Amino acid sequence: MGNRNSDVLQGTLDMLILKTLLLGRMHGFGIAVHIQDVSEEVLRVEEGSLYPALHRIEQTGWIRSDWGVSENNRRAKFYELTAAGRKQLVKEQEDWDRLTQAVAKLLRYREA
Amino acid sequence: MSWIQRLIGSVKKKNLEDQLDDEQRFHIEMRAKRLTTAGMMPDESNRRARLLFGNQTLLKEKTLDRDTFAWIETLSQDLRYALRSLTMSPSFTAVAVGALALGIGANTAIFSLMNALVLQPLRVTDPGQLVLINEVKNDKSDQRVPTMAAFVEWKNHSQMLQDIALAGFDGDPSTITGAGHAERVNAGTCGVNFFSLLGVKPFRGRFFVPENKVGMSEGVVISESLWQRMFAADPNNWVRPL
Repeated sequence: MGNRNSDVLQGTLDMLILKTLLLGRMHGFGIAVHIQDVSEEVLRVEEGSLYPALHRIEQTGWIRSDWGVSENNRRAKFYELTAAGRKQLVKEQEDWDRLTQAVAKLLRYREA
Repeated sequence: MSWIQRLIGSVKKKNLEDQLDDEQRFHIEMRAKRLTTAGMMPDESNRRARLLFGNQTLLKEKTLDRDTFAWIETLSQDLRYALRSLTMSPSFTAVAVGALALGIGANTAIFSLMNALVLQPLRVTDPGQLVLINEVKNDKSDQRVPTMAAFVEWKNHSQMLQDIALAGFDGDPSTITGAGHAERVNAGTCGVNFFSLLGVKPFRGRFFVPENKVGMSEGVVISESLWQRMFAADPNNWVRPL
């Protein structure tokens, strides 16, 4: 069981993307790599599925995109957090904390 | 304003597709390059990069759905299909269009009538205070014209009504002259206070004033359309004897 990849939990991908973009402007590949690296490969996004999510989040106005030049001089689409996105991230993080604490309490519960 | 972006996206879908292709290709190339750097053979790293990315076509469709309104494309396909079907059976089309035209026409006509008669309030000062008084037989079988004496009684003694005016419209056309030719018009008679009771103002000239002891006036009031038709809307014409 050395390679335990989890599909990113439904609904948390948005939060992971927003949190990653808090670091700064990034292209899609950069976001995918960051999520995998930081989670030590536990959270492995099916890389392509990042793009429907990115475009959806862009439509809600939490991120914006523009075309730029990548670190190896290739044309790439960069994403960037908006003010609304920062607010949304705070909210999602709070929701996430509440949820995980509740689940943890339940799992740790033992009959007295 | 994201729906505007999506609307623009729907129209310029080709453009979006090209951009999305670029975005996907960039990602896969970057991944392959990384794998090669880590020691994988170039062919193998390309294959692996594609595998990691997933089904490109499917993901492209999914992403485009986010950037466009898919229903616009579906709708335009449906409309084109409908048009083709209609042109293929012209007689059916004619019947359908005819039925619609009749239905819409009849509805519009009835609404115009009801709107003028029922929905729009009368163009008088206080339409809610206006009542019509008639004399009827005891068994309500017939109406009759009140006598002048009855009218004077009502006018002098009514506590309920501010004012009462006579108005008669028998529907008999009268002949109007004075503009070079004669014309038959529908006319009615009314008391001198009829227009002041309604609270309407004349467009030109004045309404009736009592000219003799019995409170009768010899003047006539004509409609604006008659004034325009017969007297060419001449503002001086209202002093002319008719």
